Amino acid sequence: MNDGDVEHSGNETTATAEGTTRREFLKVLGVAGAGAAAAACGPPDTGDKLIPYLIPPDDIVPGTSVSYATLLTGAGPEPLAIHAQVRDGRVIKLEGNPSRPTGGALSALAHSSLQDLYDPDRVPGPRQRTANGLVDATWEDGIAAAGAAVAGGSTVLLTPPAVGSAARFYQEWAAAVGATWMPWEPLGLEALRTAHGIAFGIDAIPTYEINSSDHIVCFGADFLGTWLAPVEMGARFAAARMPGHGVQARFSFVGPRLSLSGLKADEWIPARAGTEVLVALALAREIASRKADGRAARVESVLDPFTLDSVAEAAGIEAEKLRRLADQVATAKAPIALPPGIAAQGPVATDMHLAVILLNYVCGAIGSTVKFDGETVRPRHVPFAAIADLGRRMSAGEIQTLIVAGVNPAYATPASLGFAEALSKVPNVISLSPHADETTSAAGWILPSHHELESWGDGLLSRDYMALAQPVMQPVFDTRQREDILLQIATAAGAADSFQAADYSGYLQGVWRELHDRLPAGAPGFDDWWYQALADGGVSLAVPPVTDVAPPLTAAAANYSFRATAAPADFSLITYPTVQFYDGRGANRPWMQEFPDAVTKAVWNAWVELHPETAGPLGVETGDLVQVRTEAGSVTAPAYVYRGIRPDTLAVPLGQGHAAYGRTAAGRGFNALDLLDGTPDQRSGALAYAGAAATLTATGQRGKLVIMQGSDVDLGREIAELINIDDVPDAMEHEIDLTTLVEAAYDSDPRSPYRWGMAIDLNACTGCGACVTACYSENNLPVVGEDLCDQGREMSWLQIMRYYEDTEEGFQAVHFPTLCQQCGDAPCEPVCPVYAAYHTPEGLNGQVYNRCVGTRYCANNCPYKVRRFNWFTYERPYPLNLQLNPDVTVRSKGVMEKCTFCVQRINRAKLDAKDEGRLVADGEIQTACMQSCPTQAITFGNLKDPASRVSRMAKGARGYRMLDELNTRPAVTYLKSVTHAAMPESEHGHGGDSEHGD
Amino acid sequence: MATAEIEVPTQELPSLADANRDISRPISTPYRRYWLLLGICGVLIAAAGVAWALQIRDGMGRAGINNPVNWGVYIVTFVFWVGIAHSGTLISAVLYLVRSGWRTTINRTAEAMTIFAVMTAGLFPLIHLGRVWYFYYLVPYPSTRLLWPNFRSPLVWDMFAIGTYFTISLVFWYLGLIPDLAGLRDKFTGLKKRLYGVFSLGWQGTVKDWSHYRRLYLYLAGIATPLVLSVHSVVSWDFAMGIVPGWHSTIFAPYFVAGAIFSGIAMVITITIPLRWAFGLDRYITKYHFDNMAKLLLFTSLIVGYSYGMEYFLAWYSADPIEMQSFLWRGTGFYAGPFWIMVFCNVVVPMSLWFKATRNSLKALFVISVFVNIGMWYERFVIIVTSLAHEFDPSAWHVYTPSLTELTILVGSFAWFFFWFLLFAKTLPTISIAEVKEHLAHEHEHGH
Amino acid sequence: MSGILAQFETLGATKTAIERLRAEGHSDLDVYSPFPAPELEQALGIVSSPVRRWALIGGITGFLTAAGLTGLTALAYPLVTQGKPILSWPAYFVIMFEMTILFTGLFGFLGVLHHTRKPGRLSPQYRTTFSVDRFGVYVPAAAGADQRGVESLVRDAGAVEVEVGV
Repeated sequence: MNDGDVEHSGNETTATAEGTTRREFLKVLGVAGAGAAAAACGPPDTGDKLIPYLIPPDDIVPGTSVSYATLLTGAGPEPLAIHAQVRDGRVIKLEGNPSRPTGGALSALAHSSLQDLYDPDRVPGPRQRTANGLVDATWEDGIAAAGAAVAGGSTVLLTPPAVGSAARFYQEWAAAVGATWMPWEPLGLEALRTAHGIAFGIDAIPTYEINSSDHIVCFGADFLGTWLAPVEMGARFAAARMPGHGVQARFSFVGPRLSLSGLKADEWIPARAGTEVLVALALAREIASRKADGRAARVESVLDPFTLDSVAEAAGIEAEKLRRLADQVATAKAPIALPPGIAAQGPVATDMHLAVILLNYVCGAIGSTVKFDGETVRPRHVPFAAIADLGRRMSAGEIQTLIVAGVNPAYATPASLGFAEALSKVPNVISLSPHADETTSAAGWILPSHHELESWGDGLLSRDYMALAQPVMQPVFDTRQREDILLQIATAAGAADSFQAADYSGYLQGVWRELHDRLPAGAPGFDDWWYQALADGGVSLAVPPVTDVAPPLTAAAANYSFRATAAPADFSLITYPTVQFYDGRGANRPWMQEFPDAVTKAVWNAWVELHPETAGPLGVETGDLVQVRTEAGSVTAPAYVYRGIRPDTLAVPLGQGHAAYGRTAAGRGFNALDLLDGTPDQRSGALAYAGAAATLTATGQRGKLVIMQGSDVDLGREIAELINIDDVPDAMEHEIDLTTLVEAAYDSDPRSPYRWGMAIDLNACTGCGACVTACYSENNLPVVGEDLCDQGREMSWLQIMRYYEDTEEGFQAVHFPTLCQQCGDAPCEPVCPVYAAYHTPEGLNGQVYNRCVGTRYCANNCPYKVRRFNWFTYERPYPLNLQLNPDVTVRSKGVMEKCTFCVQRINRAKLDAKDEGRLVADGEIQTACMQSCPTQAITFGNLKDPASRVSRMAKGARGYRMLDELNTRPAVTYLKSVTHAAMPESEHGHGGDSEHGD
Repeated sequence: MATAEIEVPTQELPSLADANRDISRPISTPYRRYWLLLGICGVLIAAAGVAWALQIRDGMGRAGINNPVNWGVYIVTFVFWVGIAHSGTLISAVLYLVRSGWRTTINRTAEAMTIFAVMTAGLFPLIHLGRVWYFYYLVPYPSTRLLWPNFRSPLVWDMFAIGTYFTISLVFWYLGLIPDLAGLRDKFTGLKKRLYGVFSLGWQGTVKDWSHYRRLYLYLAGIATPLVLSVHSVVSWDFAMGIVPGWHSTIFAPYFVAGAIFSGIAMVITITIPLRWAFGLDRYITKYHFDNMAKLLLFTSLIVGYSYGMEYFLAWYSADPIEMQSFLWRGTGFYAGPFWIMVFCNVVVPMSLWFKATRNSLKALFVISVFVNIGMWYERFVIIVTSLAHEFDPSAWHVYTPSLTELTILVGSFAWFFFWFLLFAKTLPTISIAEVKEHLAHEHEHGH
Repeated sequence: MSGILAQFETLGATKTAIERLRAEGHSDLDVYSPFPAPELEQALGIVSSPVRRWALIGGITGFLTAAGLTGLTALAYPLVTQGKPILSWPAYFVIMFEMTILFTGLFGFLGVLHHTRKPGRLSPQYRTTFSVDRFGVYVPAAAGADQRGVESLVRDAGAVEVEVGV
């Protein structure tokens, strides 16, 4: 376990304060966790009373966060080992478990799980639907009713895919009560699994080691945002793209629309929707013909029909581009092809995946960059087709009882399937979901279960690591552990004897005892081992490594008959998941609604993306209402004119348009699934999210689409910098003198050992927004809502601006995180009449909220526009206010606020250092944004220490400062983004400035 | 308007007694029209008061301002009224120093205007304050925590400049009033006598007293002249000291001062024309005075027009893409409308004053002066808002449109100004009687 | 005490009256005028007013006060902004300038009030006509001076009204 990383986290500081060793202390944490933190947490503090502890709980040090290690499986496609920072019994912040390879990194969705936990619209207790609507009920009645229903037979249990013991538990439960268990994931991996089954005869998810690749060809997977393992892939991507260490990997993106991931690509091959499969095969064919090795021979026949030119023709791209790409991939040392993600998952999803597999096969990626080493573990789940079938059976009245727990099929399946109606055909619908979502609101009984953060659980993070989930706080509402409810239902149904454990935590321990029994002799006793696991967040398992990471290609694959998809007449429609809403689960979290979409920068809404060439003739501009129609249905929504999409393609985001689910989500935008007829891919049963034929009509009306970015281009102001890889100057001949930054008169107190600074690597930033959400969580940023966003009154201290930089053949996005630059000569400071803005001895631009009278002069005078004014006093409905970080003042109306490099964290670290009579060590302080960045694009540290990482980066070859010509001496150094694409003579984009304010 | 052409004043000059009588005639029980006007002002002020109260309750969000346009109608109107305030002292001080006789009949009104305009302007920094209940943080007082204001901030300069300007103008105005108050004291009886008596401080106009009086009057004129220049320079520095493209310019001080005089003179004309008509002061405020004011208006209009051109020249000459883009957008972008209104009202319309006919037509003068008032409000709007809307980082660009709250308070500010002015017109001589007498006496002496 | 109060209608008449009276040795005349009349000041031999000293002292006081206020508070509350020195005199000068002018004006006004003994009551010789269009010259009865001489003198000079024994 990497202690260097852990030092900053709450438990270390507490340990020192307690004067105990860390190991002992972590045990204490374990104990607290084991007892469901009963003594430790106490009831959630509403914050309206201040009562000191009479008998202070032994693991709470007032004013100090305690971090509990646990597991988050519901936040996006990958399970995340996290540290939950708990203050006075309230979890206030989530951070990645630093002992895991991804360190403190998390995704935006994971951070916002807090708002899921504290969602004011959660079902507060058992509810029963009667003639006059939902009424409060008792657990006893609920359990009894459910038990009776289950005893009645033909029961289906619908849950999210379960990892670890839960899977076993559900199977046993289903067996015990004679029910069918259907684990389901709307944005599932069924096609991927099926394809690999065909190709290698194994049911496994490979590990895509893009970090060791030198050419990434992506066929649509949004691997940096929503597919498979965004956080882990982010780290791998950063490693692959770092100039300096070896050569920067090329990144080519094939597909009709540039996703968050696609915007980082050096080259865009805008293949028509559905033709990615052909492109992959054509590339494979070219490469095979060049390599002419054994592998090539095996697949020669199957690839033969797919000649470059015919494919280029079909895909609507220049053959030249394709040929060049083939050359590049063929000559690459370690190329890798990434499969289509959800956004490219058309009616022939399996073929598409298989085509990519073949490409990986012929170019030798299988086994080198694509490994079946068991490092990537994802729970199995039933395909979409099974759910569609369930719906049919429900309408046919074949289902007596449906228990839904944590999934929302009524929303997450195309309306054309009529799942919502089918629900009414089921006599007993029992919902165990914590949220009053669309499915739950059709339930006869609601027996709300805990949020993950209140629950026990475990799961395999990789082949050899079993993570453990523990409750990090007392339940916020009158809810119960989902598995406990099921146990009680089983008991009520008369199947008690099949479980010896009284509750799920007991069951879990039982399973772990089996694990413990397998330990070699001399291992610690179970209790010590168990508490250690709780403290660490899991245990490493002694399992032999997978020897055969490259299984042989099956004959089935070698003689596969690929199905072609006919290009639709008018437009082909793409529905894609976003990092903020994913499959819709993020929609009721204010942070996620206010999070500007990484591609469009739109908030609080759903939209229709279309190409300028499509919009122009229709006279449609961003924000105008357009109608999209398919056989399945039609929606009218604001248009977003987007350069990164084919003229013959339309794209709409998933996850909005909730009918229920809560005050934040309800009635926002539209549900993209309404446009899908629900045809599954015949082979894998996956839902075709892409490729539906659609028509577009302009309504001529003006809609409302709030875009949080003024201009998409920096008009030659050299703000967002993109350079060609050959133009990266040599670090030696390019030495920036930091003295201008740290030793300038008055910049910072010469006696102070610190000058805090930051370096942001634009080349690593993917715009995923984890940092933005982390900032909201750490610094108590208010959410202001759509209207105030529209008026330019957003409160985010850290924004990621998406600038387009023109390359010779196209354009590339530079994601530009904008935060307070902590200028050495800050224009905001002298204009404040009351010294509310002043310069700290450590070079920060302090902001004294108590002193601020609100002249807003500082904000006018800030060239970076990073100051935020409280136009109103913003409310946080209970229990959302429980999440507030007590270390940070909650600002009220009339006050100016801004980023101060998480000064509360700086001060905490300085105090600790002082206790130990030392200086703050490099890397000891992590700002919230830096900590949660999957690609580690952000580095924070002391610029007065020439050895510090930030100093070295600031001096680095690609370093520059935003608007340096103003001589504000910003403390933030940006590192230029680097591309393989040829840059035009004038390096800067001169696209039209899209003035969204008007 | 009663008269289109300014009729030639009656041949024989008014006697000194006439002056007393004529000028103080309006100081009598007002008729209904007056109360009506006063009432309308009262209602509008009340409306603005409510708007402000709601804004204090809910937050600045009630105004349309946003990030990046953090200053809007409030600061625009603040600068507008400070500008209006400038003609007063200018006319009474500068023209006094250069001994231009024509000032005598308008300086009292102009000075009153100054005072009321400053009283109006002074409200806006408070109205625009996010936490107005802490306004005293700006005042240098020995607080228990020994916190002091930041004297480097142009806003603090503002406070001192405008505070001084108000005080000095008040003293100047009051000093000029004393002899006239004495006259009113002697004219009236009963309560009025007592009141005017108190405020005239027992003035009896001995030659000795006059000598002290004249000395101070001269000094006040002497110091008010640099003061009037400094005040609007300081106001202009609120912007010029900022780095905002479109603000950060060295020509701002003279540019603003010229603009201030321009708008000030315009307001004097806008007010004296109806005043003269309503109070029948035709014999005192004559063609001669209006002609001079019109010339001054024309002259300052030329300076202002020159400044507009110069701003663009500098933007181009600087070869700074940000400045250039900023100014290009100012004239062609979202705010092209206000920009061209400004140019039309302040540069095009006043050119008609080259013609004597226009200068001598009250109707024309009145209309032109109103145009200039509008134009000058828009000038401040253009300078402040367009610059803020398009600053350095294009991704942060955002436009601003005033909210109902802001407009209500804007209208209320005019009501507030005219409310005070109406009170003044009914209770104090709108022309300096003593000075008029001095003037007439010499005319009589030399029998013109 | 009794004296002679003569009222005149014109500046010229008043002037001649004053000159003659002073020639006769009447130095302590009270002269009332409806408007500022430098001629009469000359006639009475009034030289410059001490108000200018008040103004000067006021100006200096204001300047120093401002310098102290800005400088000392900056030292008492030393916060750096935009790398500017704690004592940013160029910025502080604006304050000093304004305060200089403020104090000059206020002191000057106090000076006038002091030297004209205002606020005060009206002297018994004051007539309301003096605030309209009449000039008044009051000759206090000097011991042994003949009132008749004075009366005829002022009448010759063109007094329109003469009161004796006021």
